[in-house]
Amino acid sequence: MTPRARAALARYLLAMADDELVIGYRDTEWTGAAPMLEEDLAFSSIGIDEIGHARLFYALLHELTGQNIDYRARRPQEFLHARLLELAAAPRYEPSGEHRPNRGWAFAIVRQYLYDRFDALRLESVASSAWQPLAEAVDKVQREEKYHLLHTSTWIARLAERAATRGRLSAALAECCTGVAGLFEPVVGEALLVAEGLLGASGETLRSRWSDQVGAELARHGIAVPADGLAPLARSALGGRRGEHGPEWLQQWDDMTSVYRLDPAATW
Amino acid sequence: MPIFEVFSQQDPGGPFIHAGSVEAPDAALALQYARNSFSRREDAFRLWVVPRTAIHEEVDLDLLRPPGDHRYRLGRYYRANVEKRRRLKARVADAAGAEADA
Repeated sequence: MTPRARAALARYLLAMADDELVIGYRDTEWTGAAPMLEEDLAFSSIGIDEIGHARLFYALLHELTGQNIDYRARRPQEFLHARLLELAAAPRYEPSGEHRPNRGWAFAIVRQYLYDRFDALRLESVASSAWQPLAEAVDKVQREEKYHLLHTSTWIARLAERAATRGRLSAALAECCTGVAGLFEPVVGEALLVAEGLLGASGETLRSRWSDQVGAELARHGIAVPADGLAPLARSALGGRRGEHGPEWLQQWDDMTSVYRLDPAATW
Repeated sequence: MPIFEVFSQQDPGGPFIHAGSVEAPDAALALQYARNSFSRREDAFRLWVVPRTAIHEEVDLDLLRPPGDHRYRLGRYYRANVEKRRRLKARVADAAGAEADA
């Protein structure tokens, strides 16, 4: 592997791991706040799975470059996740008593569904990577992702069933779709990875496959695609793969690292 | 919302043991929740969910634990009977043998 290809693959792995960490963390914020106790467990357990996948990809990154990734010690602009994933969905209760409802449950479940569809295609693409350790690691992740898609697809089907919830599903879909393009935004050097067989498909190829799959599934449930399409190239969606994020990310980063930053030298 | 009772099988061919219950709008979600709540340590081999309304219950102790003496239905009691019959048969055979000798 050339140094340029190695650097590009490292960035791709970092983006993949950061996606999983950031959405996983957001999912676990539903513990105690999902529509019912059973869903608290189901959704935060999906979040924990995603965080487990992030750990796996950070470990692969270490294997590839020798670099140790401790997410708690990174600056906010060093994270390469898609901006859609950092948006706050679960209600937030401040110790002061202040309460922010945020985007809500429909947004969270629709985002997770759209992300799972994307992630399944991305995993398929890295499963054919010429870098063997990556191709081998993916099998286990894919088997865990099966449950995520089963669960989120079930929710989409149920929300689509009744007039009362269809509106909420469509609204959440429209809101999520404005950020979807960020998932497919290429990291620097992506074209090289595809050319060298380190990656099965480019983000652009995944975007078109994703749109077909999601479009077909929504059509089966009689849900219309948002007016601007499923993955419009909105400016506000992009930048994540270059470390550009929004104000909600700073809040999440602050939450995720606050304990660590009290005493960075402490051993946990 | 309906309640489903969850049964899990720990080994292939083993009995299904009641694991607990989940609340869910339908069987598909009940299975997903059951998987999460009762097989998180990856210990189940199979899972069943059954709507609680499909379960019929008997709690009348007059029926379940009848007051009469039914010890004769127990294996232990039957075994004692078998032993008793064997002793009787042996005694009859001995008596017949003694008669023939005489």
